[in-house]
This record gives sequence, C-alpha cells and structure tokens, in this order.
Amino acid sequence: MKLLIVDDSLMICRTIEQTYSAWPFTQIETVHDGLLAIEKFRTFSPDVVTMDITMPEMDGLTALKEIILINKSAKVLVISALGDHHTAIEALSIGADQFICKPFTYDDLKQAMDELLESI
Amino acid sequence: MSKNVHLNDTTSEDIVRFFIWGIWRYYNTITREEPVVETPYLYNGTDDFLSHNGLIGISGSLKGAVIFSICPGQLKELASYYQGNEPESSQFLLDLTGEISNTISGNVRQFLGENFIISTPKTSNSYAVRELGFTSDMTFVFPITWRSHRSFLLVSLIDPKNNVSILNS
Repeated sequence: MKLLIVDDSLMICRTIEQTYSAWPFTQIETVHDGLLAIEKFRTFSPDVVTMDITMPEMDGLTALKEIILINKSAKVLVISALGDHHTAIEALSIGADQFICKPFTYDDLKQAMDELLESI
Repeated sequence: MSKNVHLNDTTSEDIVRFFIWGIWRYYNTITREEPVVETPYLYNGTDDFLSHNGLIGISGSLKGAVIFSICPGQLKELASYYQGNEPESSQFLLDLTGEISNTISGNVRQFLGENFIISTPKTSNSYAVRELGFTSDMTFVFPITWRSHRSFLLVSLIDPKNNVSILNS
C-alpha cells in the first residue's frame, strides 16, 4: 500500500513517516503544498493521503476537492490545527474520511488511520 | 469551552483565555506536562524575542499577528517528542517553531470561528520585536514556563472595523 503525506511542516511529515510501521504501507511520498499534492496524487496513486489544510501555494481543502474529482473514492485523513467545527465538517463534506486536530498524539493518529484503513 | 463565540460578544478576557487554553493544550498533548502560563501583560515596547520565532498573520474578523518565541534548549526537548532520538537540525527546530505558532493559532478558531483566518507560518531566528512595529496598547505577551525553560506568545489583534485593540478594551 502507498501513503502520500501532505504537510508544510517537516516535523509533522517526519512524525507521520515514523509512525508508518504501525500500518501496512510499503511506499511513502511526502509533499509540502496543495499543488504538489495534486500532481503527486496523479503520478503516485496513493491508497491513503494525509492532508494538512493551511499550506502555501494551495490550501488542503482546495487540494482535497481536486483529488476527489480525480478519484471520488480517495481515502484522505485531514490533519489540521484549525480547530473550528466548520472546517472539520467542510473537510468531511468534501470527501475526507477522517479529521484529526493538531496537536495530536500517537494514539490519535493511530486510531484515525486504523479506522480509515478498515474502510479500504 | 466548547462552542464558537460571536466576536460581538467576545471580551478581551475571553480572547486571553482562548490563547492560554491553546498554549496549555499544545504542551499537555505533546509532552503530557502542563506549562505554566503567567498573567499576560501589555507589551512594554522594549522586549526582544528569543532566538527562534514563528509568526502567524491574522486576517478576517480580526487583524494582526501571533508570534511564538522560544529558546533552542526548550525546542530541542520538544523536538524529541516528534523525532525520538534522531539528532535535530537547525532547519527542523525552526520548522517546529512555526508549527507550534500555527497549532496554537489554529486551535483558537474553535472559539473564534472560521473567520479568524491564519496564514502559513513565517519563521526567523533574528526577530527584534521593536522592528515589527507592535504597539503596547494592542499587544499582549503571554509568558510561558515549561520545565525550567521560558518562552512566550505575543498576540497583537485589532478589530479591523474600528481599528481598536481587541485585547485592551
């Protein structure tokens, strides 16, 4: 299985990468803005995407809309510091499968990813 | 605190509580150790920032900036919660500074709503507060102690409709 990590924070990308051994991913790619996320989604065809929202070039919600247009069955876990309910509901209504708010613990991330993987 | 508030009903005390909650939530979630956030004070125009700084621009219902300022000693300890035992680079430490400022500012949207719009973080290890032009009548400093380390959050916000400080009203 393939995982695409989209976040402008190197630290968050590293954290998710280091957690991958808990899941059955064999290939991982990382990009740092929404525009690159769309490009990488087309070429890498990931099974799962983790998506930040506040990023340069293109925000994560806009990128999510494009990714859902490419593949309406895309599996996306949104990981964002934006803590308002409106943003979470918008992400889920666009097509995200899970939403967790930063800061997150290992258990928060594992639970969300486990639930997402169960739906594949 | 669990529901959005309308800005018209939001007092300066509310805003202070929201940011204290954001600071507390960050440290407590990542480290399981509560920080001590001392009583915020009005920026006196003379303080300079610590060595690592993350700046978030604020627009929408409020206008201004949030800056998290931290020393490398505390950053290295916080980085260990993300990286384990991997050696931290200066790039990662600055990135973490931006991520902390982004997280605290973004979390406050739980109370201020989606019109509290935050920018992507800008990071620097060379800010001098005075160069950024913050005025003492609209800028609050939140002193933070975690373990033996000091850091602080600087919050400067105005209501763009009438150009008055939201924190000092």
